[in-house]
This record gives sequence, structure tokens and C-alpha cells, in this order.
Amino acid sequence: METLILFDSVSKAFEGAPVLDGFSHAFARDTLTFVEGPSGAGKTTLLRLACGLEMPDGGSIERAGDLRFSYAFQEDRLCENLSAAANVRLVCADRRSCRPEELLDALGIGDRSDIAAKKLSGGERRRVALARALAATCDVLLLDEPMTGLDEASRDRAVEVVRGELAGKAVLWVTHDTDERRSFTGYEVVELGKMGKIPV
Amino acid sequence: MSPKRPTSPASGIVERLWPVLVWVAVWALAAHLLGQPVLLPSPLEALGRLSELVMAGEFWSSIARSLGRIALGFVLACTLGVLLAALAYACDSVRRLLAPVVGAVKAAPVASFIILVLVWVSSRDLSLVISFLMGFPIMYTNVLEALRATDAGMLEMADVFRLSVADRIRSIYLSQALPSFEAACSLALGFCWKAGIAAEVIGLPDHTIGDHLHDAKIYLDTPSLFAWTLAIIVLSLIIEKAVRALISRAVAHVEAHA
Repeated sequence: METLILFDSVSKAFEGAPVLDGFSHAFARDTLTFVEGPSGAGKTTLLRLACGLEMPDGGSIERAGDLRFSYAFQEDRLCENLSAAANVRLVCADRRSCRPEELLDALGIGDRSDIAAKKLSGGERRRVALARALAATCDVLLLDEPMTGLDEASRDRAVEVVRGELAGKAVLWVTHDTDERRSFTGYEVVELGKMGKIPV
Repeated sequence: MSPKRPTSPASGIVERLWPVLVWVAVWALAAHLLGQPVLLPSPLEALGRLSELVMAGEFWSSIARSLGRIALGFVLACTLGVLLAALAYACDSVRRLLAPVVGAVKAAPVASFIILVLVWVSSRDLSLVISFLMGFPIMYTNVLEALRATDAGMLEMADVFRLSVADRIRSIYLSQALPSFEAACSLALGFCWKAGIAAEVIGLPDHTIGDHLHDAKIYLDTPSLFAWTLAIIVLSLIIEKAVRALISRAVAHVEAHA
């Protein structure tokens, strides 16, 4: 498998408090990795380090060329005045062929496509953020608790949509909920806070 | 606490109108008690004089001359203020370079500028330059502060998704800076309008609002002074509404095409 990102003994601390210490792992194309651990264990930091939003204090992170990233941030980070569809279309490589309505419909909010993000509920905003992450052409897909705030039916639906978008990417999925990985097979789990990884 | 009931348009107008009527009544009472129209004409005398003025072509041509130059100064202040704020946001050296100039323009009294500018330009163009000088620091400072306060999380999002500069402007900076831009426009417009007319009163370009205000003072024609002042206030309100509507439409258009 083609390794896209290689963490080698990476350390990261914030204001003197270590978050990651000597973390090593290879993230390859066509793999799904669930990143788990208690709050403050460095799950979001790992994603931010992966895409270059943070720099490591120690160790190294090697990326295979000019990787394209997509990211469903922990906070929705939507453009408030733009509609749900416009938020998704914003990241499409080819806007003319981009069909955000189809993705939003698959996530159960097709009827909210034309509504400004600021007028959407928390669960709807979360799904728009997820749709945006899935709409972008990328090598590495970063999902930071993408199902937070969704009811069970919406979550199941979203999981199915994500499943259809995994091919050809390295997917790093931060979650607190082990139920989210039950419908997947052949994935890895990186458990942070224990300073190691447990392959499954 | 009881929930706030929605107000009807009619009750909204009444709510806004009654304080104005109270102050007009106070004005009328004061004018009546004083009994000297040269010192304080009544509202009816001022309105009567205003109705005479609006029938004359000179009134409208004077307004057009004053408004045209002051509006041009305002537009220049907006354009240059926004462009330089964007440049200062992108390049810290530009911000440092402009800081003393903007600070000096903000701190200097408008009268000093009027007299100084009169030395450099004709009285005809004085109101244009003065309205620009009054509007520019307001636009520049407010837009720059808004840009500097842009949500860092949204900029990270733009970096991760590799949004183009045009997309960043349309989808992030525009909505982040818009409330400050609108507030700055409203403030700058008021300053431009007042300072521009003050400049006309000192520079006395022919057939302008300032020229007529000066004449009213020279001939102790206080009702005309009040009538022109009323016209200035009404115009100021209309222009502010028009500019706000224009900005809202422009932004809606840009966002619709994002």
C-alpha cells in the first residue's frame, strides 16, 4: 500500500503540556484509521499535524508529494452567509459538474440546500460540514467527530455515505463512539493517550 | 418575563415618530416663548421657508453641486480605504507605513484641513477633498480591524481546501468584514456630509449648500438657515438609507454567485 503520511517519533506539546510523545504511524492510501482516546489525548492535534496546520515539536512527518487534504473540522467552520449547497460547492474542483444537492440529499438534508448556513440547526450544519469534506477531491480525508449531534438514523445514513467515499484515500476518523466503526471492516485503530497503536 | 410581541409596521413608525414630534413641540414652544424669529424661527416658519426653497431651481442645483462633490469624496474614501486596508492586512509594512498618516488625519481638526486644503486646491473642489479626508481614516481603520479579526478557523479551512483568493474574499472576508464595512460607511457618510458642507461654508464655492448657509448667516435670514439645515438632515437620512440598500444588494449579488 502506498504510504501517504509517515509520522516518525512525533512529539507535540501545548504550553509545556505534552499531547503527543514519540508517536509513529504510517497512513496509507485506501485505508481507514479510527483515531480514539480520551479528551485531550491529541486526536485533533494528530489530524492538524497530518495536514500541516500544526508543526511537530520533535520527530518528523513525511508526506508523499503534494497531497490534497479534505477536512470535516470539529467545529463546522461553515461560511455563515452562504447556502448549504454553496458551502459544499465552494470546495469542488469543478464547480460546473459539482452536484452538492445530491450529497446533501444523501445525508438527508436535500431540502435545506438553499438555506443559509446560519439558519441551519446544529445537526444540519454538521452534515453540511461533512458533505463539504466529502465533496472535495482529496488524497487524505480527515474527519474529526463528524457524527457529533446527529440522531441515530442520521448517523447511520451519514456512515453509509462516508463508506461510499473511502476509495483511493487515506481516511483518518476521530471518534469517541465505537459504534461508528461497527459497520466497517478492515480498518485500523490508533488509540491515543496510551502512547501507542492497537491494530485491529 | 413575558415574551416580546412582534410589532406591526404602523406601530413601528409611531414608535420612531413620537420622540421626533416631542422635540418639534419643544422647538415650537421655545420659538413661541422667545417670539423672535431672527433668533429662533418656529418649525412652521422653517418649513414654510423650505417649501419656498424647494420650488426654486437654485435649491436643487445647489444640492446637486454639493452632493456630487461630497459623494465623490465619500466614494474615493471608501474605495481607497478598503483597498489600502486590504493591502495593509496582507502586508504589515504597509500598515506600519500608513499608521502615522491615518493617525494624523484622524487627530487633526477639520478646520485646519479646510484652511490648508484651500491653499492647495480651488474652493470648488474643497468639499471633495475634505469629505475624502474625513471618510478615509474611518473606512480604512474599520475595514482593517475587521480583516484582522477574521476567524482564524475559517482561514485554516480555506488553506486546507486551497480556496482561491477570489473565493476567500467572497466567502470569508466579505461576510466577516461586512458588518464593520456597513457601520463604517454609515459613520463616514455622516462625517463626509457634515465636514463637506462645513468646508463649503468656509471656502464659499458658488451655488452650493454651504454658500447658501453663509448667505443666510450674513443676512440674518434664520428661517433660511433652519430650512437649509432641515434639507441637509433629510438628505443625510435618505443617502444613508440608499447606501445601506446598495451595499446589501451588492453583497447579496456577490454571495449568490459564490
